[in-house]
Amino acid sequence: MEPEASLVLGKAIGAGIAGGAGMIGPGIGIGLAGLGALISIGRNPEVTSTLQTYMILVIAFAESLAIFALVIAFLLLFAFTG
Amino acid sequence: MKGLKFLIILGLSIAAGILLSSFTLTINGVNVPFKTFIPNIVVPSEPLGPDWFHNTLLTTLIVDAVIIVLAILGARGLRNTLTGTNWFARAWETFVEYLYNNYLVPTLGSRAKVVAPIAISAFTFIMIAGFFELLPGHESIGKIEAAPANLRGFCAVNAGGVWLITGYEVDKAKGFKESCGYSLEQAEGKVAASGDKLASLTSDVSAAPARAGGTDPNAGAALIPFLRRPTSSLSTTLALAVIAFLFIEIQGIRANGIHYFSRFIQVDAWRRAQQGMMQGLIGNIQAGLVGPLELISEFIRIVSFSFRLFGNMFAGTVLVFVMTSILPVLLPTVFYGLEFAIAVIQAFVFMMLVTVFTALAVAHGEH
Repeated sequence: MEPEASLVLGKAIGAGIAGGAGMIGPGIGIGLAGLGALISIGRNPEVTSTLQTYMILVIAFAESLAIFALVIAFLLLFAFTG
Repeated sequence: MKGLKFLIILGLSIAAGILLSSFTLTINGVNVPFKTFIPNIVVPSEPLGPDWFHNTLLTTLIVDAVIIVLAILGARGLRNTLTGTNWFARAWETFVEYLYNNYLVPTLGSRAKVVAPIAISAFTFIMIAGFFELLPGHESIGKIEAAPANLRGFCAVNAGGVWLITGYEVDKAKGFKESCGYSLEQAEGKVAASGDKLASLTSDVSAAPARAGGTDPNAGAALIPFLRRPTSSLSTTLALAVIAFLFIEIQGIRANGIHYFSRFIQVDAWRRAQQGMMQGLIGNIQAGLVGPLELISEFIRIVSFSFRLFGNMFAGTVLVFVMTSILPVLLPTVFYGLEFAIAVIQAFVFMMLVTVFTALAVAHGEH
């Protein structure tokens, strides 16, 4: 295979794996955060506003990992010239 | 009846979108086809003119000007809030007090007053910078130049002094004329128009050196947008992250004095391990390992602060590009709504993280 074609191929495969596989863990994490908050709100609805803040915070932490994966995928696709 | 109206509007919009996604105009006496396309996606910000003046810097200045004007208007209104009803000053008051009373005070208590200026300023800046994606012309109106070697070049046509990018790509091996179906002179309007008093692609290229060695107009045109939201460039978010990091550390040192550093050099654990109060090995591990880990996790915050914001905003831009290229009329509306929400949520997250990390740094000595 020509080196340029293999570079394009490698970029596409790498970006796909980085973007796709990197989302699995954060997805589970966000689900767990939402689950915990919803269960607590169901048991004790008075704490809704407090829990919402912390839930968004935890989701942001989990989401930032997904965003790291996305950034790596974007860098591979658009900034990596190798 | 209402459902039927909705369906008719939906159908018309989709039909308009499909029609608008490719059409032909006659410009300079040539039939020029247009279509929707995904523009060049560039990770770093791009210079407009001088090397240091990037498009994100221009947008930062505009955002700052907007915030300063809003703040001055609000502050002027504050003088007569007691007597009159200045809705603008009250809107500012509501905004600031909502954040202050609901999020800053419960986390920080009496120190909320110290943190409020930087936290709420960061919120305002990130939110308004995020809203700039919703403006028409964001990433689509700008300076035109010959495509550099590492970017795709597009067919472009000069319609009365304004260059329009048609969306068809130039095959760099074939050149402009072969790929677009009309020559560069025809695109510039030199054949049809009387004289080129306005900037043209070729004269631009000869006058100013382009971004990355793009000097050949035959390679097609590339766009450097005037407006690009500042938070979609890593430089801006890194600056915000460093400011937040320094602020958090300074608050920690001010609250705990020299004792703040005992988090990174675990003196207590070391002493206890030496006195045999803990199991020797475990005590030594705690003393030797926890301190460096704490230190690393402090500095990792810079990375996570900056990459979270940058990734969200940049991904949003790419998302809107892709959706607009699929269907230009109805589909992007949904994602503009999403971008609106993301701008507010990311601003909120940045503010909350500054608040919570400051609370952690300050509360260190109290337990």
